[in-house]
Amino acid sequence: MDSKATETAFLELHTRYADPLFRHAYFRVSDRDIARDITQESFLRMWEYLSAGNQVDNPKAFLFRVAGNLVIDHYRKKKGTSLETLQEDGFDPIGDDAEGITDAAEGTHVMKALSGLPAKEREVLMMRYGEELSVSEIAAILGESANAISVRIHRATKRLRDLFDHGPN
Amino acid sequence: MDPIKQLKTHFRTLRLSDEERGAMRDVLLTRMRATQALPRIPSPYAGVFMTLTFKRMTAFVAFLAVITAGTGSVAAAAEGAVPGDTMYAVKVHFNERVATLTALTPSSRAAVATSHAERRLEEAEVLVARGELNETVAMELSERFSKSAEEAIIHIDGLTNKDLEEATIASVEFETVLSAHGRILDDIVTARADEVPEVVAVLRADLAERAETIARKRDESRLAFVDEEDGRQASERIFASVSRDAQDAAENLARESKGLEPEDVLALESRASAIAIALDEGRAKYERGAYGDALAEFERAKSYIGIGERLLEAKARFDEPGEMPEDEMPIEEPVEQTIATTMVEDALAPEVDTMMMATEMRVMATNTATDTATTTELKKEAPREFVPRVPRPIRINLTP
Repeated sequence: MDSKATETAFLELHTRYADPLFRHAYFRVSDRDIARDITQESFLRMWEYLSAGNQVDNPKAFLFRVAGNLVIDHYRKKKGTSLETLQEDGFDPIGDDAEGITDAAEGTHVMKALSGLPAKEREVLMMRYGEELSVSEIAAILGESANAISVRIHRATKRLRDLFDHGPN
Repeated sequence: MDPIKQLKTHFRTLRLSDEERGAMRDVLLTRMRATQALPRIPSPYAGVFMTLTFKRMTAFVAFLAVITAGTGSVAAAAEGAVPGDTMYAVKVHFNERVATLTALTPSSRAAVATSHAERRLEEAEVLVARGELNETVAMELSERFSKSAEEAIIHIDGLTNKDLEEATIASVEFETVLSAHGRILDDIVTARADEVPEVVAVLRADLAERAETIARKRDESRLAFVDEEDGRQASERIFASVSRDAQDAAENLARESKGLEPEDVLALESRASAIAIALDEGRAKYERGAYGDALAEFERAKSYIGIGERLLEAKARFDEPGEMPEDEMPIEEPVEQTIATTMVEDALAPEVDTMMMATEMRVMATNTATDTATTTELKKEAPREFVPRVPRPIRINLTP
């Protein structure tokens, strides 16, 4: 593959995955500039990895994994403690930022309903419809079965519709 | 508007701006051009397609010759199998692989992927109708459907860049499959509400979502046709093809109407009218030079025809209790799927001898529920008509 073809191929990956990856980062850090930096860094790291002679079987999974690690790094620097410790203490990067997300998406009715969902259900809806991940991709990222994810998406969708139509309670 | 649609719309507004995207690409290009050794870039489609080395391809061509010569009846007999049937592994691992490998043009690849996606939906429908669909099998079918649907979309996207007319036809066919089976699943699930695994609801939502996405993409690509000579010619050709389909459909509807309930006859007549109206509207828009709009009407007519055909097939399949012909083999009880699958997968190894052995398989089927064992020998015999057992009829709604 010549240099022009290589550039075209890599930029094709960028075209395809930049926006979902940006949303993946933004949902977790609630800061546009940081999310953009994470997106860019994910692609750069993928380029470096490939340039070192490594192979990537699934570019999408690779990019999302790198972005996820960069989000964890961001919180480690920000909070001064491990993300795992934070999660053990009940901190949830997506859950705690629901308000931020509501603001970012102009505080619409549906986003308010979304913020009313339990954290795990909110997370899978964001991954499915915001980050455009398939059920099996979500399952792989979260380390759960595809069946469990499917059911959770279904329940979250039903609950979102209820909140949307009738409000809380 | 549905909250999920609103959610997706809002999420889509959360994206990189053109300036941000351009700046990011500049950074990537700078890094790329500073690199000495160029890496191999994985395709965005990596993991979706099966690739064969030359050796396996040669062996597989030999396998195809064997299949055609001696085992065509086995392959044909497998076509009606559903998960749990002995022949299901043959259907998926032989028949469908052959179809995939022998699809050499982009439009035929799109058609094969669409067909495979449709087969998963039909299997789910049959199992739900029989009351035999459990959570695990539903999940597997849903995953396999998603995989085939993704392949179809990728091929249609590829066609859009090369041949807009073929892309239009493939896209309409795919959307028709999704819409028709969404309706059929709705009717079946309504009739079997208490017996349906939760994941089927996710599958139904998936169908609706994908149908909407493919229709939206087609609307966007149709803009490329407006005011272009290519668009005019494409409209003309698609109109000719849809008109022929409409004529066949009208004859079919007239034939199928006999013996139907009056409300079903009325529904078929409404559908025939909708097809005729869409064609007339399309012709009128074509005459005015609105080729993009004309094409949209022809697509609508084609979709009405395809959905109607599938609803009629589903009605024949589910709206009457199935009866087993006297000489039919008993429907196999759930088998040890791993045994059959392992044997079939062994038979797919490149060595021709191993593949030839696949024509004389002997499978031990075990009824795990009753602890009885029966041996089922797959013989070279005439293909059997697939008659699903449907214990209770399911009303299939034919209205447009």
